[in-house]
Formats: sequence, C-alpha cells, structure tokens
Amino acid sequence: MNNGRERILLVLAVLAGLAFGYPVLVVIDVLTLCCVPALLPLYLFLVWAVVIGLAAALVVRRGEKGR
Amino acid sequence: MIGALIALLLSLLYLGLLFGIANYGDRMAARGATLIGSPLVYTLSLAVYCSAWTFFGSVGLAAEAGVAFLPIYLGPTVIAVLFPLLHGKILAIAKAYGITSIADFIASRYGKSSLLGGLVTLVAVLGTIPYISLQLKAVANSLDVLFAASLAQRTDGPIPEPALLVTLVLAAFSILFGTRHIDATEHHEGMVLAIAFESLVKLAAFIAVGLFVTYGMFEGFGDIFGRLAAAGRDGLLTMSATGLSYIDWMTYTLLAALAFLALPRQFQVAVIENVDKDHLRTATWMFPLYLLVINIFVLPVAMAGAVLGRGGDTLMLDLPLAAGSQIFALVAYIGGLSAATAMVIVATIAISTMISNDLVMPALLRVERLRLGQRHDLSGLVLAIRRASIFLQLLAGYAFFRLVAERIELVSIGLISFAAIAQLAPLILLGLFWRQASLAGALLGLIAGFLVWFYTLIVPALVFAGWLEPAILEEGLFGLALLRPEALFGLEGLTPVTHAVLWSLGANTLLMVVGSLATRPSDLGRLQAILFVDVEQRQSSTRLWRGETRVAALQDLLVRFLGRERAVRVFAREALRRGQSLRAGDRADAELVQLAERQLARAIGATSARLMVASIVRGEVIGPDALLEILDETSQAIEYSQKLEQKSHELENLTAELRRANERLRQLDQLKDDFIATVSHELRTPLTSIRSFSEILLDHPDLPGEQRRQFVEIIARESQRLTRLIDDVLDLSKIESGRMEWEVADHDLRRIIEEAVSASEGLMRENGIQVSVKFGVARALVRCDGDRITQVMLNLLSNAAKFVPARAGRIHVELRGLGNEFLVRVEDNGPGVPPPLREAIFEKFRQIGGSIRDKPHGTGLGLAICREIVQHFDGRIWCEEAKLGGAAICFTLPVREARLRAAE
Repeated sequence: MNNGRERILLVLAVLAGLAFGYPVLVVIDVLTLCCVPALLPLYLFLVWAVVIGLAAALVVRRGEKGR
Repeated sequence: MIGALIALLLSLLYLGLLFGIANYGDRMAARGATLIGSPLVYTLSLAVYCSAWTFFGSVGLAAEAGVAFLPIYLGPTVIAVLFPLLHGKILAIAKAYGITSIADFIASRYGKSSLLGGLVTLVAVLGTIPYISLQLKAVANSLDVLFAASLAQRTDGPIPEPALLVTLVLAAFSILFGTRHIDATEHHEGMVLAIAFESLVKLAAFIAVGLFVTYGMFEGFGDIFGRLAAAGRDGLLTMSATGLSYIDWMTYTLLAALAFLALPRQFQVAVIENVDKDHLRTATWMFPLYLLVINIFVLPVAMAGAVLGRGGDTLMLDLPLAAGSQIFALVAYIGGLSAATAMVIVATIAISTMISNDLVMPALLRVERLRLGQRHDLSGLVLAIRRASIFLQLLAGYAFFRLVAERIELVSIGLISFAAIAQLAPLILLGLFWRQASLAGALLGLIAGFLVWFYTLIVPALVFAGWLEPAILEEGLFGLALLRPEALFGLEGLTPVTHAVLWSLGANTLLMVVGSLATRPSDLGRLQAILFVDVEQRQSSTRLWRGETRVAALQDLLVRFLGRERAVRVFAREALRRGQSLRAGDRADAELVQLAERQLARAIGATSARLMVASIVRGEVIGPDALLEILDETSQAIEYSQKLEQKSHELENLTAELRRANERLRQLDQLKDDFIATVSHELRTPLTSIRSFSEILLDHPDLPGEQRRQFVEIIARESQRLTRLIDDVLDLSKIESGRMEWEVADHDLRRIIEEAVSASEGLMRENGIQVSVKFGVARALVRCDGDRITQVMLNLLSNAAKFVPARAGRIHVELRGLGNEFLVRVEDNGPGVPPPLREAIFEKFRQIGGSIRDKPHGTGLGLAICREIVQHFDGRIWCEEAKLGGAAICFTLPVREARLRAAE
C-alpha cells in the first residue's frame, strides 16, 4: 500500500474516531431529544456504514490497480 | 418444554459438528488443498472477537444503558481501518522471523528476552482467565435459563454441574483441536475453518432471534421504539442513558481498540493463522461490516426487553421463551454457545503456545540438571505442556467464575480482561515504530501497568466477591486515602474501568518511555529494534550468527524438537534449494544456522530457539563487532541510497539544463536563418539597385545629365547602406570578440545627447517628427567612449523615427539622475513593443515582425550593438512602455565617480 493511501486511511480512522466521539454524539443527542426520536442509534449505524464504505472503496480500488 | 437433556445433547452435537469441520479442514490441508485461502474465511475468523459477551452481554447492557455497549465495537472498527498500516507491518515481521504468539512477538522485539516473554505470557494468562470465566458463565446461565424453563422451577443461581461439564467438554475440545501439531506457526487450518463457521452461526443466530423479536413479537422497529416512547422509556436511546461521561466513552473506545490489537486470540487468528497478506485488505472493510451487522439487532432486542419490563444478560433467551418459542430460544443458545466456544478454543490454544514457548520451555532449558538439551525427542514434552496448560486455563476460568464472576455482570468481567490485555499495547505500538524502545522500558512499563491494573480492578472485584475486606476500598491500603483502589491519588468521578485504564496505561506508557530513554539497549536489542521497525527494508539477515558448528549438530537439534522425519525434510529441501548436498561433517554457514533457528522458533518460540542454537554453536552469538558491521552495512546502504537520490536530482537538473540549452540552440538556429535571410535581403536590395543603375548608365551613355546625376546619387546612397551593414556586422563582431578599441574618457552625457539630437535633426525634419528634450541634471559626467555612446543615441533616435506615425511623430528624450547612475530615456509615440518581445529586441537580427516583408528597414543589429556598448560601460538597457504611447528605450550609465570606484 502506498504512502498516500496509508495517509488517507489514517485520516479516515481519525475522522471515524471523531465521528464516534462523545462530543459529536451529544450534539446528535440534543437533536434526538428535540426533533428526531431514536436518531442516535441511526446516526451511529449510518456513520459506521460510511466508514466501511470508504475503507472498502480505498482498499478495493488499490487492489484493482495492483492487478 | 425443552428438556435439559435435549439442550445438552444439542450442545454435544454442535461441538461434534465443529470437530467434524475442523477435521475435514485439516485432512484437506494435509492433501495440499487449503480451505482457508479466502479473505472471507479470514474475516470470519477475526470475528472470534465477538464472544458470548457480544451475544448476551451487549443486549443485557443495552437494556439498561442504551448505546453504552457500542464503544467495544467502535474501537476495533477504527483499528480495522488501520489494518494495512498496523497489521500489515506485524504480519511482515511475523512471517519474516517465524513468530508464534504475541509473547514471542514482544519478546523478540526486545532482544529475544525470555524474562519479558514470560511476563507477557503471565499478563496474557491472568487477563484471559476472567474472559474464559465470562464464556463459562454465559453458557452456564443459558443452560440455567433453559433448564429452568424445562423444569419450570427457576433456581436463584446457575446450576454448577452444567458449568463444570461445559468446562471439561471445552477443555477436551480445545486440546483435540489445537495441539495436534508441534509447529505453532503451521496453520491450524481445521480450527480456522471451524471458527469461521462458528462466526457464521452466531451471526445467523443473532439475526434470527433479532428478526423473531422485532417482527414476531412486535410489529417491527417502529413498533418497538413507539411502545418504548409510549412507556416513557425512550430516554434509553440518548447518551445520558449510557451513564458514561465523555472520558468514559473515549476510554472504553480506546480500551477496546488496544485490546483488539493485543488480545492473544486476535493475534492468533489475525497474524499466526494468516495465509495471505492480501486478506488484510478485505478484512479492512469486511470485519467492521461484520461488527455492524451483528450489532444491528442489539438495540431492538434490548428495547423490546425494556418494553416488556425484562433485562439482564439472558434477554436473548428470555424473550423467545416469554413468547413461547422454544425453537428460537434454542437458536439463541446455540449462537451463544458458538460464540463462547470459539473464543475459548482460540484463546486457550494461543495461550498454551505462549505458556510452553515463553514460560515453561525457557525455564526448563535453563535447569541444567534436567539435561533437556541432550534428550533425543522433546516434541512430546512440548505438546504435553500445551495440553496441560489448556486444561489448567479452563479450570482456572471455572474457578474464577465460581469464586468471583458469579457476582459480576458479563460486561464488567470482559472489561477487566480488556484492561489487562491492553497493557501489552504500548509495548507493541512503541516497539513497532520507535527504535529506541528498550527492554528495560518495556519491563518497567508492563510491570507497572499490570500492578496498577491488579490493584484498581481485581482488588475491588475480590472485595465484591467477599474475598477481601471492604475497608480497603473505603480507607485505602494501609489506611492511606490516596491509595483507595477506586480513587487512586484522589481521582474520583470516573467508572472503575476508566479509572483503572487511565492509571494503568498512563503508568505503563510513561515508565516505558522514561525507561527506554534512560537505558541503553543490549546489542541484540538494538539489532532486533532495527529489524522490527524497518522490516519493510530488510526481510531477513543471514549474518546474525558468527559462531561455528557442523551440519550434523544442527540436524540433531532439529530432530530433538521436530522429529526425525521433519528435520530430514527441512535439510533435504535446503540442499535442493542450494543445489548441493549438505554433508554431516560440513561446517554450517550462518544461513543454515539461521534456518535451523527459524524452524526451531516455529516449534518452541524465538527465545528458546535462540538458547538451543546457542548451546551448539561455538563462539559468539552476536557481539558488538558483528552488530556494528551490520549497522555499518545499513548506514552504508542508507548513504548509498541518499547518494543515489542526490544523483537522481542532479540528473534531473542536468536534463532540465540540457532541455533549456537545446531550446536555446533551436532559437539560435532560427536566428541564424533569420540572419542569413536578413543579410541576404539587405545586401541584395542595394546591390540590385547599384547593378541596375550602373547597367543603365553603361548601356545609355546619352542619358540627360540631370537623370544621370540622380542615378549616380542612388548608387552612392545604396553603397553607403551596404557599408553601414558591413560596419554594423564588423562592430558587433569586434565588441563580442573583445577586439574593439575603446576611447575611454570623461564625457558629459548631456552634451552627447545634444549632439546626437542635433545630428539627426535633418532626418527628423524630413519626416515631420517633433523632438523634445528634457534634462533633469545640469551636468552628467560619465566615463565612457563618447563616440560609442553617441552611436547608441543616434541608433535609438533613428530607431524611434522608423516607428512613429508619418507626419505626426513625436520623440521625447530625457536625462535624469538615478542614484549612482544617469538614466537616458528615448520614447516615441509609435506602436510600441509587446511585453513578451521587450527582451528579445536586443538580440542580434531580432526585429519585430513575423516575416521579412513586415520587418522595418535596418540591419537588425542596432539595438544589439547598443546593448553591448552600454553593458561594456557597466550600464543597463531595456525597453518599457512610453508615456507617449509607444516604446521607451532606456539605458543607464554609472556616474563617473561610481565607475572609478568600481574600477579601483
């Protein structure tokens, strides 16, 4: 894996860490309380899916190029 | 009703099925057909992370604290994204140096230290025992629920016999599964296949029960959440319901990430059992996907429990039973059993390898009285140690369950385990990326972290279990309030796990860094650090052994640990590779010694292997000289690489220079063509005139006097033009070759300008051009050749005259001081010079206009000569936009004093 792609993965991991971090979740919590019931689990699972999608796109694309 | 016997029978049948799958996998592997060569199997084997904790504990926790169960899965998700970076490097190291376990990995990194290997094993064992007890408790609780349903007489606590039975069955199963080969790096293909199958089973079971609860007992997600809101319990879906503070949440996520990295069973499946490094790429996204899918129904099931007023770790079984579905209760039981057995099997196998290779064998080999080094076959001993250790681990897990864990929730037990295992993470991470991390630092950090973990988590657990007096929690050790296990040094307001993790990991990392900075690693430690940190650059070194031994001695050593058949096979393969036979009496070279060590390491670990090889290799294993030699080679390689890079840069620069020179040559070639065209044209025009008029005069002697005079005048004028062209070429040639004779004296520039303007007055008047002159200084003394500067002025004036509009031309000449220079500006109201051409007009034969026809009259040398003259007297000349609208040619000459100073 080249350095550029490694750096992107590192950034993705940091972003995922932040998106799953307490401050962001508290903001979502506020929205849950005022507007959309059960938004918190929905948000968590959506972000999770996005992280998986991005990681897949990165490593799969690299694999195709490698071949 | 489910009969207890049916449940037990089903368990045994399921375990039998697993054994059949494992057996099939092993048999296929023996035939050379691998069944674990797919990234899907690899990813599913990683899902051994999801144990009974996930299956039962997460749901139990979610019913009480909403999304509080999630950090345990978010941590590994972040690590999974980093697989190519972290595990990619770990895999490269493990493959290159025959690593057999996490203890072997850490011990090898820090100078193959048997002390550290043993300590890591101890931490791993003590950290895993609570985890094993968690699995036993989960299975026992499940059986308890099923039995209770069966007998319709719930007892207060779990029935002891099933738990013990489960322990014994799992022990037998793990021994059968994992200790059939001695080579710990040889893949347990059957086991991996069975684990992957188990991962599928637990996922399918979870989804099946989730669907049953959501759509069988309720009318979908909306119904569950709607009824939850109606019951006024929708607050469970907020962060405040988790009861976790900011720091708790982040600590749990970090804890899960580090534990995932360092758990012996994860290391076993992710590194030791990996058959293809490329599988990591797929696992990067597929493993988080597995975690996501298995967690999808946690909240709905937990919330359904909350709606029905139920909770606890057995909710997955309770809900189907409450709805009267024994089938789904059994499905949940099998899912949980699957999760628990997978964890127990892999963890005990991984730890049994560590116990035999890093704890018991190094210790036994050091006891000289046992004379193990001289025994003919040790493979049986190694296997016996592994089998015994598996049995003892499960027994210890059962004891922990009976004595402590019975009174604690699944999640709490799991977190206690995680916190212990996470103590290995700083050693791994710093060891991977920081060369200076040393054995002393690693020992200090690990011991400190482990002691703090024990004091802050195990001591309170023992108090809750009634094994210690509660006074220690309230008053602290020796009555010191600062030493209260759950509020160390007065740190309060955190959950016990967060408190323990912050103190233990903090102490661990700090002492590791300080210890590493304060001590100098051993020679071997430094070498190993280089080999690990820079693994991508150097895959293996064959120069680590300098001693002397014979081929026969090495072969005997391998026979003792691997058996005769395998030892002979190893040597035969090596001989085949070398294309020459390895005779028993031959001296074994470093490469062969290295091979033997690697093979031994696969069976008994790097530390023991090194000890054994050292016992037969006479001479120094590795001394400072050898190390320096290797380091020297390394630095030479680095230096060479740097030089190569530098050369490459130089080459790039040279290429660019060459390209520029080439372009310049092309331009010069173009100029030469232009020159020939211009000169030919300039020469031909007057020559044609001269020739034509001469011929007319010759052929017609009777021409009238007036006409004859007119023709002679034309001939004379054209001859002058020819002379001028030739003079210009000669002038330029002289200046350029340095043959020009300069008459240098002091001159007043003002006077030179006046003379030049006056000399060109006729030309100006003839063309109706208005000339104005402005002097900004009274006197402008410069040191130069007056005639040449006059030539410059005349050139500039005649040039300007060529371009101004007919009968409306204006030329303005200005002289002023400019610091140490005088500036002369000749501007006109002609068409001007476009900015890109302002530099080019001073080049030889460069005239504005695309073709000969467009070009103005002149030699194309005037401005080039001007530039040469001005530059000769240290001046500058350039073209800019004129205030009158056309071009302004400016030149400077240094004031006399400045030029004299410069000359001095």
